[in-house]
Amino acid sequence: MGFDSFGALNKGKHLCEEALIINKKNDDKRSTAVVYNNMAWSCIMKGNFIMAKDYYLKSYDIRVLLEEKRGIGFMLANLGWVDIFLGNYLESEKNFKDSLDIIMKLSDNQLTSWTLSNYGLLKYTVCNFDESKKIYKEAISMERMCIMSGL
Amino acid sequence: MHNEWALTYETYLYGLLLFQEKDFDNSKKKIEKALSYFRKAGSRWGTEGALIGYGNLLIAMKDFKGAKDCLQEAHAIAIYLNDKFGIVTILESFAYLANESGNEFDARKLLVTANKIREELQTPIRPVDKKMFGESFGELINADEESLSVEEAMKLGMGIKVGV
Repeated sequence: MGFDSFGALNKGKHLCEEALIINKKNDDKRSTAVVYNNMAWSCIMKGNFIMAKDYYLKSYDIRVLLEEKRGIGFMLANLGWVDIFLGNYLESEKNFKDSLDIIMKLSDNQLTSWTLSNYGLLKYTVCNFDESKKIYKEAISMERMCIMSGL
Repeated sequence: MHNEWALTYETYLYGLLLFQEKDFDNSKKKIEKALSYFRKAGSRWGTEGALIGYGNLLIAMKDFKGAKDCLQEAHAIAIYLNDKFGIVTILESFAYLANESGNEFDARKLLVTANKIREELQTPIRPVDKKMFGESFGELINADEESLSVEEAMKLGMGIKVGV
């Protein structure tokens, strides 16, 4: 969440581009995947969802290559989220379901809660308020548990 | 994802849902709580989003002056961040404000302009946002209306008369 917090949106983008060059030179795929995720976030803050999706897909591909389950689940959730804004509701639903399938097996409550809340946002967006409410409640309760347990 | 930030985001989303369920008082409490946290955390993007949601809620509660203040503040943040999607949603909120305060002509102009930017960004208006305008949405958006420039539209939105 740092880009906008410190008023360094453009500086952040520039640093990401520099980081990409260094990571590629060092063949550091894991860091490259993280940078692509940050670049997607920077695009989202400017309302460029098309480019954000492109960066998320790049990050996703690397995480698949590295067989990094948590990263794959996280990227699928991000793709689900960005698809809401692009109006790809069916694709979004599929991405969230695939993400939850992976994440729930990892017992990662924090990421599960985050993914659930965005899945709830999809249901809210398409006016399925009952389903959305059920999902939000589960996400909030899980998030509170994480805070109480100091995770 | 930082837990406190995530919980605030989830609280905000839940507040928006309560707004749709017309539980305005509880929606207001949740959105105010989220807004306060986003401000404290220095998250401009979060603050901008929460201000727009809060503005829409205040319009529904007929607090037009309060809503306009929120949208003006959100606009300043959107300009700072160069957030085009933020600009679109602010224009739609101004259209909602114009429509609810009885100015369909301005609402149509604002909505058509917002829609044009949405086409550029390839982000269609969400079913839940259409619902905000009720049955008049189709009539407002399908009108044979020329869009304004963003600056003209924002000036129009800022100039909506809301009384005291």
